[in-house]
Amino acid sequence: MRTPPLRAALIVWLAAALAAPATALAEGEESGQEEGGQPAELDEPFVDPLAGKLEPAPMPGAEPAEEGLPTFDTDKFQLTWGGRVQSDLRFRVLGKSMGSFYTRPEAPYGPFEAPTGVSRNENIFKLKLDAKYGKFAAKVDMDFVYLGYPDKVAGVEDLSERGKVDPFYLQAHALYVEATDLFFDGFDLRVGQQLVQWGMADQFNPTNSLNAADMEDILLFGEQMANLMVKADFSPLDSLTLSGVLVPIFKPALLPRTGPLALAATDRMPMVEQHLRHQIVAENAMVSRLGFPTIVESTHIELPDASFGNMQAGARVGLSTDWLDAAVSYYYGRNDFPVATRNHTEQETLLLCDPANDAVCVNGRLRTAVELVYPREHVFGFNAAGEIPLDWMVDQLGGIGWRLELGVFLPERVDITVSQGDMVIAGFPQPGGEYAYDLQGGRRPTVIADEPFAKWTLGLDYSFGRWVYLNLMWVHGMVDEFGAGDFFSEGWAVRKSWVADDVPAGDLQNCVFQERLGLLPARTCGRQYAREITRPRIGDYLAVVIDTKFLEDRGLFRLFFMWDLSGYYESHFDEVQGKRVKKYLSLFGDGFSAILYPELDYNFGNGLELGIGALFQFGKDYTKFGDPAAGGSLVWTRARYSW
Amino acid sequence: MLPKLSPIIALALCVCLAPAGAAAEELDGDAVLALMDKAHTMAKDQFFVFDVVTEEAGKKARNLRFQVTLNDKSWRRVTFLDPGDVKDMRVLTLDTSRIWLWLPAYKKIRKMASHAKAQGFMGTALSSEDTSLVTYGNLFQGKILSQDDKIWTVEGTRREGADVAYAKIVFEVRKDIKMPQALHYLNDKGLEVKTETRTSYECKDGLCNPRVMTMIDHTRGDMKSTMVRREWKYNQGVDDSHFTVRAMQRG
Repeated sequence: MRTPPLRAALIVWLAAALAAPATALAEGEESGQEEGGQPAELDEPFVDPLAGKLEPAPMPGAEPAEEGLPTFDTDKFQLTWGGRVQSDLRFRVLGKSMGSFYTRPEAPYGPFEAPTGVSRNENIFKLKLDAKYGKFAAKVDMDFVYLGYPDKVAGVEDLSERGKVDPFYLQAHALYVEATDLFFDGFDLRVGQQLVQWGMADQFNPTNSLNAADMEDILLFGEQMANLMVKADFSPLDSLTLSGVLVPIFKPALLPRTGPLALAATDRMPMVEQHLRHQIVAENAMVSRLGFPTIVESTHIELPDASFGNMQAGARVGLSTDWLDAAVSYYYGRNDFPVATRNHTEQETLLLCDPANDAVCVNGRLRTAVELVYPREHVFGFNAAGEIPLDWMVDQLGGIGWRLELGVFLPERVDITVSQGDMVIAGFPQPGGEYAYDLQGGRRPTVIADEPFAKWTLGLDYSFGRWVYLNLMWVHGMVDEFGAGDFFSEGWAVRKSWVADDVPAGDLQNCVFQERLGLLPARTCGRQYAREITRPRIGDYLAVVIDTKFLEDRGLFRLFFMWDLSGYYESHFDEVQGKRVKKYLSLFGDGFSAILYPELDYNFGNGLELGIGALFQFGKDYTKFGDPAAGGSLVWTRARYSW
Repeated sequence: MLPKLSPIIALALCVCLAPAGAAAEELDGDAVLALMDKAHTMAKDQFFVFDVVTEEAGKKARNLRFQVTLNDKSWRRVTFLDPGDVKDMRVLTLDTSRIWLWLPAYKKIRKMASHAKAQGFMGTALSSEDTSLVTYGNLFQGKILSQDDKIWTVEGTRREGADVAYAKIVFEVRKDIKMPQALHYLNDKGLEVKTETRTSYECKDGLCNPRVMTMIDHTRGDMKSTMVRREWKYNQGVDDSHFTVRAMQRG
């Protein structure tokens, strides 16, 4: 059937009219209109307003580099890189020492020291490489560190060794290959040197068990060392991830450079059994007064061998919702801080006098060799993070961020064997052998009880306007604290033990000998003469971080404050009451222990940052932060250029 | 008596007799915002590289380079390219209340809390919240303030419960490309705290984008950030899985 010409014309006209979008407005504008009314092509004049303002200035006529820009082309190899040069210069403003003129086992004798002066003079070159080819990737993050001061140069020969005169080391934070959606969608595999950090809290992460702590640089608290691992993730949903990790070889924690000072703390008995500690304190004090103090001669670390049984493993299920991120995890492996499992003591006869006072001498020393092991542990972790809304109070008021990280630890029990060689004390021969612990069932003393304990970090943070940020944390258990002992279950860490100077040497000697001969009931001397300062094994800390930005984000003043709220207790025998008593040391007095860490950073833009700060550690030597092994107070500077 | 018209002819006449732009004139503010949102999300995916220079009176300018990938669901991923101190920092935005950060220094993903959204965005005149805004109609109720043959001026008032700090945004929307040429951000007191302009538009295959954007923060001495687009790709087939925490962590 033919269409009438008029009707055909009308239809054509109508179709054309309807085809034009209802919102097509423009008069005499560009040709070609796409759906939605946008012109298909438009190229308005462009004069680069940044010309001459960019640093470094782009090469004239140069097109932006295509390399490194994602094309989502799985057949294209992409390599991106970056790096950093950083110089750290630190000064210890108040030197620390532990021990006495006889403490170091070999000449030159003397205390362990962290002297006043330059404590770190380091230059770091960081190189980061990311290679990607479709689903596969490789990542490198290496630090090349020049220590900036000579190693122990013993003689002229060492002056010919560059490694001693100009020492350096390498550290790999990441060195792994990765495949995504391998075998099937949602399955990722990563193999190599890597960090797997499941904890959601800031810096204090009890569930970051897979990597060992890196405490070598105390200013980088919370850092961990990468380790070779195999990590598999499966994400059946975007919001759900199942992870499994295998760590073939155990790696121990890296301790602070001032950590060896703790070797002088032979009075910090590791045993759980209180009466036994007291007994040893009394006996050591007696022997010390006879001119034979106890020192640590050597330490032997028993690293787990590379057997199948010593491999570590972890698993995690993570869920992310609009209002909550949560995860549960499990780890089986070892705690990365060692505990003593054997002490063997040999008597040394050697007259040593205090260089500062010839009248003060010792006749020799009881040299103790310590063996340390890494206890096995199961760690059940729970992490959650979210926000407490405040807009019900005031509209548009941002919520308070919160994070909870909880680790429940089931440690393997670790006992300690204490033994000695043949000795002669006050003219009386003491045959060598294992110490008479006098414990029920003939068992050895316990260093780590197989009792569960928990560590957690509960954090809140909030931004006050554009410039001020506040972060508050309750930290229950620092990374180096291990074993049951908090307000759930009793357990104490000894921070100091001694016998009072006013106890006559003769009384102490008579007591110990009579006890040994059975003329006094066992545990009498320790009970009567030993004094101890203890704190819970798992401490409690309040951490406060206040960030203040200024000069439009160029400057940052950060104040970090951490206060040890665990509580320190001094115990001793009270003659009046006829029993041992425990005295609480005030948090504002003898029990005060805190860190104050102010930091000022300025970002000059284009990658240059300069920083200056200080780390003040307060407290008596027996406290957590006043401990000389913590390194004392520092002032530091940092220059960093990143690209 | 007028002859009786067939329905088709009557309809054609209606369309024909309607003045050009009549349909547009009938648009209310919400409809204009909807058109603008549609224009912003018309591409399946888009990819940009921006150079940013932030200038303040009496201070040295600061540079920043970042890349952005966004899709038609308004999801967005930002990766910083330069300078080195922020390089490889990543931001994933699904909406104004679902923002995650990848902090390379800590090798950690952190969900951005709402209290942090007012904070500056890498020292620029933008806030973190500014960078999370892709579409506006879902957050602001539009009302036409005025219009001429080139521009709709629409006052957007924050919708009840919308998770955005600005009480109002006044949009100057170009009628030709349905894209804004200026946005005036007002706080709860009705003061204009920021002004954004978008110029030197380029359109390809019906997709339009400005080459130059400026943001002036009047609360900080008229601190000004100028963003110049250096790269623009679109419809590359970016999968939704690119906009996940898992993918962002991978890089």
